[in-house]
Amino acid sequence: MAERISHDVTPPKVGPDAHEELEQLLQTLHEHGVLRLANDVVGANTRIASVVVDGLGKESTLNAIQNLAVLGMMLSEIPPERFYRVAFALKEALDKVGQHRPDEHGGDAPGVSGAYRMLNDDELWRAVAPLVDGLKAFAERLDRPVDKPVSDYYGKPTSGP
Amino acid sequence: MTTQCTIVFDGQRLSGPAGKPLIDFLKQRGAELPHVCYHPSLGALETCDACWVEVDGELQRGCTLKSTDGLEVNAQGERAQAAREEGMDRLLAKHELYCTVCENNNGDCTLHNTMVDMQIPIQRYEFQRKPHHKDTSSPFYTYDPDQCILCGRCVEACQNVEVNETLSIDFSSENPRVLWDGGKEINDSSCVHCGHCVTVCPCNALMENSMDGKAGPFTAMPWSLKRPMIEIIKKLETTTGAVPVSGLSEIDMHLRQPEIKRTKTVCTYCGVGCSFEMWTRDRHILKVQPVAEAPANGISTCIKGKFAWDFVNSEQRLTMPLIRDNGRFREASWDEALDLVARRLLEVREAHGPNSLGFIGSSKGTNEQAYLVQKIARRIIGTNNVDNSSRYCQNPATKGLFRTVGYGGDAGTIEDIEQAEVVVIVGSNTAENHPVIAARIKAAQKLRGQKLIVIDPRKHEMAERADLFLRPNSGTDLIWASALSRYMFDHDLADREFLARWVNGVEEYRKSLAPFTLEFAEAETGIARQDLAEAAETIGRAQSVCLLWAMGITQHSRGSDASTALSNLLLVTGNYGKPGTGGYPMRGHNNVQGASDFGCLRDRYPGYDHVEDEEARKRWAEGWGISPEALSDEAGYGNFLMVQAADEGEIKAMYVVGEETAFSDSNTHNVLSGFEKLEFMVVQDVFLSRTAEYADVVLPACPSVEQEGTYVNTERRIQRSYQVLEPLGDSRPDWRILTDLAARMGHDWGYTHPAEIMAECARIAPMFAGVSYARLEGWKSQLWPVAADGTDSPLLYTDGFANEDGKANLHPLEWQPPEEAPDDEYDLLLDNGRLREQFQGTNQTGRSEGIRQQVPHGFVEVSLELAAERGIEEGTWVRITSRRDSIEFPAVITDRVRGKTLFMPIHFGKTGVNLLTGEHNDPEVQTPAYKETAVKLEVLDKRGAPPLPAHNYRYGRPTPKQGVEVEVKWMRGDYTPPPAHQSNPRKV
Repeated sequence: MAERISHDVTPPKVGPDAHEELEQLLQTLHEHGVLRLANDVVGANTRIASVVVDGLGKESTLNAIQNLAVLGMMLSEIPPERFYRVAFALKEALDKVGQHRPDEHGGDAPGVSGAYRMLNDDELWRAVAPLVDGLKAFAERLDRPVDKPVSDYYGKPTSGP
Repeated sequence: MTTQCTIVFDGQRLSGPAGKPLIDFLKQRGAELPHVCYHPSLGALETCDACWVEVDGELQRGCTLKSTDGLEVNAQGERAQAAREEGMDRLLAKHELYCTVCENNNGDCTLHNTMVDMQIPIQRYEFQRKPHHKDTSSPFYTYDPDQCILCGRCVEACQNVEVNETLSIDFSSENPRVLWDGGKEINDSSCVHCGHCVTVCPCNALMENSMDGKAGPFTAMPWSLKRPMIEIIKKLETTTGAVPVSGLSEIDMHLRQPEIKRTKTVCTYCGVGCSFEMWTRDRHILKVQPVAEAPANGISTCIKGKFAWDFVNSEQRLTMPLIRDNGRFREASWDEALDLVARRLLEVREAHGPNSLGFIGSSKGTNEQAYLVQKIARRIIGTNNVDNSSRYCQNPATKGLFRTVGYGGDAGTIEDIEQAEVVVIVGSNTAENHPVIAARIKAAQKLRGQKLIVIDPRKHEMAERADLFLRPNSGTDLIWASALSRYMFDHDLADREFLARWVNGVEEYRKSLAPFTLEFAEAETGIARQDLAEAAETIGRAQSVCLLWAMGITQHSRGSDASTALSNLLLVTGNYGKPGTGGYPMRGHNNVQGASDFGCLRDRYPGYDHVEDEEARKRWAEGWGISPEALSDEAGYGNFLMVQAADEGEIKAMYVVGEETAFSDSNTHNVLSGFEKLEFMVVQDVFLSRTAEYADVVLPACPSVEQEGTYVNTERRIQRSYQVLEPLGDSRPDWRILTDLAARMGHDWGYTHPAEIMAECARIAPMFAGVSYARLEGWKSQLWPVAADGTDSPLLYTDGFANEDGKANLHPLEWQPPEEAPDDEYDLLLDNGRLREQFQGTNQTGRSEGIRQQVPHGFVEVSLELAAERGIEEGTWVRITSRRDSIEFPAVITDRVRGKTLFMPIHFGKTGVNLLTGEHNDPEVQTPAYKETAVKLEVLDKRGAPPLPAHNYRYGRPTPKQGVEVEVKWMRGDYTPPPAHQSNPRKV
C-alpha cells in the first residue's frame, strides 16, 4: 500500500557559481588567444620591462610625457567651445599657409628706402605673404561665434542630444 | 501564381515578386531602405517618417510602396535624404539615447540600428523628459514614455493582431503617449499580458522585466551611476558628434553577442504550437522573442508562452531520483533508481503477466518520448496498456473524425481558419485556451468581415464578439448540430454535388435526421428556432466554413457522438477539402496530438496503425526486429480504465511520464485509491507532482527547454524544438531516461539523439515516412501525413478522404441525455475549464509570481440570477457538493455563467475539481464526462476579498480602434511633413 508522501526536494543550484564563472572566463581567454599573449608577456617580462624602461628613460620620451601632461593641464582649463574655435582657427590658418602659391599670389615685392628695400625683397615677401593670409584666416575664424562645435563642424544645428 | 516585376532602386534594377511591400522586397535583394515603424507582420503604419523616398519627383513614405513593374524609386536624392533625417531627428527628440547602458542594445533594436545606418552626425532636436511616469505596474513588462517614439507598433499589434484592443495613442493630446484602456495603469487595464506590444516595440519603451539589469555588461549598474554617465556622454557628444558615441554602443552590442544565446523552442502550454526564440544568458531567461517566421504563431504569444517560464529555474525542480524508503523519499543515484525500476517492472510482468502493467506517456513531452513509452510497453513488456491525456479530452473528437472523414486531426491549418467565410466555435473558450488562434479569428472578423458564430453555454470573450451567439442547454449539442444538418437538406442548402461525389450513406443519414426538427431542437437545447435557422442559413450559404470545438463538446457522456454530429454537418454542407473549411478539434495540451500520433494510445501504433490490424502488426514487428506474435493484438486499457483496473487490483504497476493523473482524472477518490493499491509505481516528471507523491520511484526529467525533440500542434504540424539550457542538476531528458531504462531491461536501442528515434518511426509508420530532423530544421515544419519525399499535407481531403474507398461517411446518430443531470437534491450543473493565465494543476505556471498575482486563488463562478436568489456576494465562500464529495471556494459573480450553471477553474487546490466529478464516461472512448456534474451549493458564513483581484484583465474596459490613428497626427495644425523642420517634435 503506497501512501502519499509529502517531500521537500533539495533545492538545485541555479546558475554558475564563482568557480564556474572563473572557469568559463579562463576558457574564453584561452580560445581568444589572450592567455597565450599573457603567457608570452609574463614569460618575457624582464626583457619587455627593460625595453620599456629604456624607452621611457630617454629624454625625448620624458619630454613627450611631460608635454602631454602640460597639454592636459592647459586643456582642462579651456572651455571646449573656445578651444574648438582656436583649434579650428589654427587649422584653417595652417590650411591657408599650405595653400599659398607664390606664383598665383604674386611674387613682386614692394619697397621704400630700408623698408623699401625689404619690401622690395621678393623672397622675403614670398615668405611673409602666406603668414599674413594665415593670420587673416585665423582672425576671421576667431571672430566667428560657435555655439556647439558639432553643429559648426557638420553644419547641422542641434539643441542637444 | 506570383507575378514577377522589375523595379529601379537608386539606379539599380531589382527583380522579384510583384505586390510585396517595398521594404521587404529590397531587404530580400540585399538593398536597404531605413525605416523604424514598419514591421513585416504589422504593415505600413506611416508614423515614423524615416523612410521617405522620391517617386516621380514626389516624396513618398517608402513603407507604403509595393513592388510593381516599372517602379522607379530614388532614395539617395537630397530631398529624400533630408526628409528621412528630419524624421529620425524627430524620433530622437522623443527618445533618450543611452544605448550602451540600455537593455535593448542587443543587435535587434530597430531605432538604434537605423540611426547608426543613417550615420546621423548629431540629432537636431534635444531630448526632453515628458510629463508622464514610467509604468511599472505590470509584473511582466514596463512602459517608459521617455523612451517611446510614438511609432504605434504596439498599438497596431494590440488592436489588430492580438485584437485585445487595449492600447491606443491619442495623437491629438498635448503630450501623446501609449494609453492602456484610454489611460489606466497597465496592470489595471484589460491587458492580457500577451506580450505582442513588447515583442514589436522597436526600442526599449516596452521592455520585458526579465531583461532588467541582465542583458549587457553595463546594464546592471544602478541608475545612480548610469544617469551621470549618460549626462557626461551627452555633454561630450556636443563636441564629438553622435558617430563616436554610436561606435561605443556598437562595440557594446557586439560585446553582448557571445553571452546572449538565442534558441528556437516550441511552447509547451497549449495546442497552438507557438514557436519562438528564447533568449538566455547563462541560465537566466532574458525573454521570449517570437519571430515572423514562426509557422503557427508568427509574432504572437499569450501570457504563458511569453512570460510563464520561471518554473524552469525553480528551486522546487526535481534534480535527483527519489526512492520510496520506509515511508519517506530518499535521494538516489540514477544507477540505483533505473536498476530498481527495470527490475521491478520485469518482476511484475513475470509474476502477473504483461497486462498487469500500464504506461501513461506525456501529452506535454516530445514525440520521441511518446514513441519510446509505447515502444517499451509494446516491445519490452508486451502490452497495449499505454495511453496519454487525450483520453481525458480529445479522444471523442478523434472518434468523431475517424467515423466520418478518416484522419484524427484538424482538417487544415490556422491559415484556413483565418480565411474561412464563417467560423463556428462550439464548446471552446478559444480566447483563453488557444489565445493565438483566437487572435487570428478576432482579426479576421474585425479586419476582413469574417462571420463568427459561437455556440456555448458559457458567455466567454469569443461569445461576446460573435455575430451570432447561441447558448444551448449543456449536453444538447448533438441535437442542434443534427437539426442544422436536417435544415440543410430541407432548405436545399446541402451541398448535393459534394455529397454525391465524396460521401457515403447520405440517404441513411438523412433518414436518421427525422427526429431533429427545429421544434425538437428548440425544446431540448433552449435555442430559439429563428436563431437556429439563422445559424443554418449563415453556415449553409457560406462558401467556406471552419468549425472548431473543444472540451465543451468532448467531455460529455456522448462526446464522440456530438463530435460526429459536427463533422456530419460539415460534410452535409461540403465543408471539407477546400481552403478555409473543415473540422478543427482544438487540442488542449501542447503535444496531445503528437502523443497520440506517436503511439501512446491503447489501440494504435504510431501513425494510427491499429494493433488488431495484422498487416500493421507485422510491419511494426519487422521494424523492431521481432516476430509479430511478440506484439499483443488486443487493445489495452486507456489511462481511465488503467486507473480503475489498478483500484480493482488488475493493474499492479504503472509508469507515468509527465502526467498529473492524481489531479486530472475524474473522481479523485478512486484514482488515489488505485494508486495506493499498486505494487509498484514510477513517475517521471519535472516536479514532485501530486501523482509523484504516490510513486515508489520518482525520476527527475527535464522540461522542454532542456532537451531536443519534436511536437505536433493542433494543426498536425510537426515542429522541432532545440535545447535552450543544460539540464538542471542531475535531471535528464525524457528520451534519454527511457533509452537507459530500456537498456537495463535488456533492450539496448542505442539512441544517441532524438533524431534517431524519429528516423526509426519514419521508417516504419507510413504517415511519417518523410519526416526528418533535417526537414524540420530551424523554423521549418511538416504537417502529417508526410510522403517519403517530404511532401506534407497542410489541407486534408483535397483528393478524397482517409477511408478505404476514399469517401467520407455520414454517421447516423441518436441523441441520448447526459449520464448525470441536476435533480431535486443536486440542483445545479457544474461546468469547469481553464483560465488564460494558468495551466493544468499550476505545476508550471504556479511558479511565476506574476501569474499568481493575476489569479491568486481558486473560485467558483456564480450567475447573477443565482447570486441574487441565494444571497451570494463577490467573495462569499460557498460549499459545492456533488454525489462524490464537497469543495469550498469563494464566489465570483458574473454573467459568463447563466442560471443554475456554475463554473470552476480546474487549476486550483491540492485535489481540485475532480473531487466532485464522477466516473461516468463516453462508452466509445472512456473519456470522463467532466462537464456533467450535478452539484448543490451551500452558502457559508465567510466572506473574503474578491477572489479575482480588481486588476484582473477581466474587469478592464478595452478601447477598440481601427489601428494606429496616424491621420490624427497629420491633421494637427502643428504637424509639418519632412523635410521641413518641426517646431515641437516631441509632441507629434
